[in-house]
Amino acid sequence: MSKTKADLLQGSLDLLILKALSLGALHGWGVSKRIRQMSREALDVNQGSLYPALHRLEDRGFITAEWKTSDEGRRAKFYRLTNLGRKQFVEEQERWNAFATAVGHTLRANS
Amino acid sequence: MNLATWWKRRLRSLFRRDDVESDLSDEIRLHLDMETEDLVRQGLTEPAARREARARLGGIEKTKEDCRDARGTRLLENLLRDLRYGIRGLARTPGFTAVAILSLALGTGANTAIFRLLDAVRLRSLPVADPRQLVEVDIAGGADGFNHQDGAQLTYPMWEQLRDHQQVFAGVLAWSAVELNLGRPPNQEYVRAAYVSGGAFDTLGISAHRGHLLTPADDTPGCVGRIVISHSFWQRRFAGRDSAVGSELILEGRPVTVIGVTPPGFFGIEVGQTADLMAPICMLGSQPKDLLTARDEFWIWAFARLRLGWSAQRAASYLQTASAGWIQAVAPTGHSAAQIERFNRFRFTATSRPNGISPLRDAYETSLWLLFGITGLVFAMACVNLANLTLARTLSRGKEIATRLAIGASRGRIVFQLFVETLMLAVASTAIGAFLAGFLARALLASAPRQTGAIQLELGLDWRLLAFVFGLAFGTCLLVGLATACYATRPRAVSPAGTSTRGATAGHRHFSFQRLLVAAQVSISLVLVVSSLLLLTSFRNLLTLDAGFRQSGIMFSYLDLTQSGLPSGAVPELKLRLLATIRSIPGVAEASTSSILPLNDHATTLVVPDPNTGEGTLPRFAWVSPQYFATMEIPLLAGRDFNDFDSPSAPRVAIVNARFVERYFAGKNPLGRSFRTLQEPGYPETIYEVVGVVGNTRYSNLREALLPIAYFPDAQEPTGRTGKFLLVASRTSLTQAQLGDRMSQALKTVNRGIANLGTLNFRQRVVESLSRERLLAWLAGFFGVLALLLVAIGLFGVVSYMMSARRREIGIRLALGADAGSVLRMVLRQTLGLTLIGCAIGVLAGLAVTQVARGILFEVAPGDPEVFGISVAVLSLVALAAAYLPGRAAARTNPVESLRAE
Repeated sequence: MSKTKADLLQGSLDLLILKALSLGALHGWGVSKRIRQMSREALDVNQGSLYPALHRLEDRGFITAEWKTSDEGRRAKFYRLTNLGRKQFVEEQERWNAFATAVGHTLRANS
Repeated sequence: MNLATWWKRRLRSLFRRDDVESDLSDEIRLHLDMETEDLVRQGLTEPAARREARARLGGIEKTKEDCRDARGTRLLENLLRDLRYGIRGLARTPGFTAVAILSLALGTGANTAIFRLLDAVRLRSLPVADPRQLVEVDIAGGADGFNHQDGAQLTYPMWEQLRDHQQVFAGVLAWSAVELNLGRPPNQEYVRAAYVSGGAFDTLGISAHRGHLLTPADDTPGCVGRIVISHSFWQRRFAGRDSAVGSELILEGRPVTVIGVTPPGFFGIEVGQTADLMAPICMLGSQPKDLLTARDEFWIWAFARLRLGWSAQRAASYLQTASAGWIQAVAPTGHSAAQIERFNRFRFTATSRPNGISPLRDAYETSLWLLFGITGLVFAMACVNLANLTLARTLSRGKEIATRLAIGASRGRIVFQLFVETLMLAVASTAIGAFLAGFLARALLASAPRQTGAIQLELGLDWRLLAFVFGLAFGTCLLVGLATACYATRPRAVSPAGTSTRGATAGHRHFSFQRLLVAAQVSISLVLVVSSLLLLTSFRNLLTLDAGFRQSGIMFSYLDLTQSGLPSGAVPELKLRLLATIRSIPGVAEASTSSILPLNDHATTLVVPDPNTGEGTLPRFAWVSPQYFATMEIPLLAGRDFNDFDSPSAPRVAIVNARFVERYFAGKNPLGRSFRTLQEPGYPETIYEVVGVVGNTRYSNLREALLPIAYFPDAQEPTGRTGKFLLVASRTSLTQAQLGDRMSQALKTVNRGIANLGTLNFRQRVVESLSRERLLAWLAGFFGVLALLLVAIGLFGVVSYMMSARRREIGIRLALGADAGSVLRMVLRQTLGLTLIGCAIGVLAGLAVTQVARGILFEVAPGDPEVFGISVAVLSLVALAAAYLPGRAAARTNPVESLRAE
């Protein structure tokens, strides 16, 4: 697996978004907040790339959007995972784990 | 994701763009609101929180842009927007748009139409199995000196020899094209048909579409009346019903049975005619001559199929040796020894003919290629015109392009947008061109009449043609569009707004490419104008040619004497009374008879031995009554005309033309001397005394060289053939209809049984025989004018653009004291210079190109200096006229305004 740096970032953003939505439908700002929460404030998503990523994922059919009224009484655009998205999430997760394991092995290697 | 959703999304983003946009705005705004609230909760003030929120987002518009890009519908949205802009842009300059589309459409359409005709006439193979294996078997060098039917090559006995003795072909067939009488009066009609050998369809590899086809078993003499009909005839006559097979028709008065139908698309082996009926040769009647046994009547076309591995050359060498014996076995009798000697020297040869035979092709092929070249040039001109005008338009938007590039538009996007305009021109002109092509091809076919009836050609509409049309127009438009767009957006070419036009003189670099295009247009135009002038001159030469006799005011009438009820002995006296009666019709100045119709592409020949070598030669002959030369106003140069003393029992006399005297009497006075014709069936060897000399005339057609002709008195015609049908020539001031009527009435007073079969207007007929030349001249003239128009428009556009680009320069000149006239003169001078350069190139190209028309042109050389001179002059005038208006407008610029305009 030889991704470039930009790809890597984009790929991981998609993964994080999918993860965030796997726990329930959210609007864009909500996704950003949840990622912050889940990473225990370690990951702060670049908001400028969040919305383009959401639109791209929607275009690919991994998530769908719907205008609903939020808890606070606002009309917001809520995203949620599709079946295809769920499948994609599992695949991406496996790929990421494999990648992380490989990097770990490499770093621990003595020769 | 499934396709439906994909499409729904695309369509939504195209057609509900406003909704999509407001969605996006709402979403972003909401995000900012919530982020702001969150930050307020963390302790910032409202305005600070708002600023921080916006900063974190990184720019609203940029985010929106990125979202739009991410949606993946960008390409389609852009394309649609470009198309809309393109249409609007073209609509803003309707003149340019109209000219570009029409000229391109005309160029494409005309070119394609000619291509279709060429394809049908020349390029397409016969619709039979393996046409490349077909060869025509004919006589090497032609069978001169014997009776031919329309270019047919063999006698029937020769064909039998070939059929029975040949050992190298996979199959042979005989074919003879005829017109046959179908039905009983009053419902008779003539149909195009063919007599074929029984094995013809086998050899051609044609199988029946319905029923059966003829087989070799049908070659038995005295055969039963079985015929095969063509697919188109089957549709026309029987409406495609199966009951056609087995039905009965009356052919030449005899009942025949239809046994089958040939496949659709099969028309026989003659391109340009469809054989509606095909009958076995053995059905031929034995009147007027038994063609099945006649050894000196050539009326068969023979074709053969090569065996695998054989070539036409190999077959030809086989035939060269093998045919000697066959031909000598069927040598005719009753001819002079010299003729028979000539016959025995004939040899068969084989020529590859995958596209059949075609008198139509022979007559029109060169003209078609010529037209193809002409329309190709027109198309090239239209493309150059398009390029030039597009370039001018694009360059005049230089500031707009520069600005857009400066604010970050990608060059590719701008090129694409400029290119889309040209793309739409391409689509429009291709569509119109394709329609024109269909219409023009049919129109051309209809306007090229042949004496033997309408031309029947299958004009295909196959994929090759469509590829040609689209490739042509599309490819060029695309090339032009891309090229001009790239050229206009070159980094060097544009500089930030405000600086590019501040120079005192706008870059002459721009102009050089445009000047090149204009010069190209002028040179192509010159070639077109020269071609059209040459063809027009050639046509005029033919039209006004002095053929040696009078043409206008001459009528020819066919009289049928067979029902006169008189014995043959009384016929000469009848003829004299007829002529006297016709001469007495008011309005008829003179009348006489002739055995041939002049300029009818037929020739009557007898063999005359050359005075020096004794070799057989073939001058031309005609049997005429006294007063023929007076009727046709052929000058009598010496001696006398025929008179009543030249009777059947008197010595044989002849009147010859000046060419004859040159050829056979070495130019010396021939009066009182004689010459000899050799024996032929029906024409015994005869010695004629020359009693008169007349002026030279054309004989078979206008283009032919002046040949030696000898005239004999029709009273002395040996076969008596002129006793049954009379061809009467009348010099008259009456119209064709008037003469026809009065003659019919006059004839009744002499003998009730005589019928006037028809009267024709000689001059009209001669003009009609030039229909091919007239068509060519008209078309070439039309395209010549079109070329001039395109040059004018192109120059007008370019000069206008140049003037507007050089406004500052001109303004400065005027402000510094130059007078308006000098500006105008400068413009005209520069235009003229450019035109003359274009003309120079055009002249060189023209001299080379027009050589191909040498065979078509009549009495005008392809490099005629007068024609070239006139063309250059006309083009220069047109160019000056085109440059005059913009030049004058430029000269009238108000210097103050032009300087201020920046």
